[in-house]
Amino acid sequence: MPALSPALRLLLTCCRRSPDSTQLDAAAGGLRDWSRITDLARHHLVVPQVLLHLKRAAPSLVPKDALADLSAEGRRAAVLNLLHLAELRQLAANHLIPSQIRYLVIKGVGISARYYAHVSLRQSRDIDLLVDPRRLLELTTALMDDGYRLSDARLVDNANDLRAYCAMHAEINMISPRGVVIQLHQLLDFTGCQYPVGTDELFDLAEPVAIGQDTHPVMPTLELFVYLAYHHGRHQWSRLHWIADLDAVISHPSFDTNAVLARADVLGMRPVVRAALDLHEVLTGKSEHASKPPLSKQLISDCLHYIQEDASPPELERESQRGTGSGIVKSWLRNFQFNWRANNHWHNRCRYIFSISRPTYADYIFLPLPESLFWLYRLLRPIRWVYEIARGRPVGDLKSRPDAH
Amino acid sequence: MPDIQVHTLITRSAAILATDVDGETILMHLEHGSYYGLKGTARHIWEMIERPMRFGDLCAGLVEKYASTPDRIGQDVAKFLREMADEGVITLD
Repeated sequence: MPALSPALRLLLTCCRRSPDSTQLDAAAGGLRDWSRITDLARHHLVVPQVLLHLKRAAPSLVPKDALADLSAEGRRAAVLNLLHLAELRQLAANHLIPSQIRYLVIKGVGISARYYAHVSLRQSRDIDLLVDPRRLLELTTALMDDGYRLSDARLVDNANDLRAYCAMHAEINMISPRGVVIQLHQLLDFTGCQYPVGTDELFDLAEPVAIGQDTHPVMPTLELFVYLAYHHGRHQWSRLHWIADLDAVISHPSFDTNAVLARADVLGMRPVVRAALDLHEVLTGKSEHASKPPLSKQLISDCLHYIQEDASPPELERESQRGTGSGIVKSWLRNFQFNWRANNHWHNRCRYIFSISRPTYADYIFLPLPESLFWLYRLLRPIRWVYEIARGRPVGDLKSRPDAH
Repeated sequence: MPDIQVHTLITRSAAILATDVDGETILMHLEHGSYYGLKGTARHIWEMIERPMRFGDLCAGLVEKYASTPDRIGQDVAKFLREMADEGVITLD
């Protein structure tokens, strides 16, 4: 295992639901420079956990200034979480329930409500909802009429733009009138296109859970775990709040390792689920890194690299690579390789190949067509992909538009 | 607002969301969008009224816990409850 800084070791210890007090004391006692602890905890979205555990186990070891910083940040996180609860309540009461639009709360407050003692013990950045893809356009339109706006509204001028926007985006990012970011997903893991459970099936599997004062549908624990293992694995487990979620879900009474592995087998995703379990074992000191299967070893190394203070986030690294033709190919191959290794069903392994023909909104901006001709983008995309590689940057890349930010 | 009597029923408003953080309870009013932080005795009172409670029962519970005269506690708690009711955090019936 690579050496972790004392600050990171402390934060990692705090990511456990019930950290060992001896380890916590040792980690806090070994920290000489507390000045960056709040920044680092904020960056990794683990302020509430760090605050809770340090105040419980080692308050005398923490300088007053550092504790005051953490406390103020913890309060901000709690207020934001309440705002998210209020937003979710309003969304459900004003739109989803009256219009009978099926939805699931994924991640965010759905995880904090079910797997943490208080909703304020987990920081959430936004509200993630999986919604019926057949009703996505209708819902987006209704929300816009109600004062919500698209996060990149400048790219959408008319009804046909909005139809294309909804059809070609992985998720629709909206900002509520209260300023809360809402992500409306039409498919779990649209980008990796590997998670092999359809939206309708997920709705059928949903379980009601109390979130704030209301009840909302969420994914069952075993389904959620398989999804998190895949999704966060694809992002190299590079954030500590994902590690905290991993521990929180595994520690929850509804978690059953055998059931999760059985579900992973059905979905062909045992390697990536095994890797998540192995990562948890290594980080909690229950087993050694060296004795793990190849994908587990890889993800454990990646995680320990990317959580470091001086590491660039993997998304940024990939983004910078896309500036060259070989970078575009490398980025695609890396995703393909991950999907191949994460899965042991051949048909699922090969699904990522079809991502080449999945249209993007940049294709629409390049050549706006009416909805009846959207299928043409599927033919156009592979050609444009090859052209992008030759040209060394995405064609019609939205970020390269002069008015883009 | 009517005077608070022994039999006045104190009920948390349905428009309030609450969460605990770092020894403090933070309340958010869903309609006004305003926030309130409760610590110490205020937080204790909020916990006690998780279910609707009569003013007399609330004060009796507080007298057991805090070293003060029943009259003083009654006055202070009534003042606090009136403020909470003015903000729409609780209702008094």
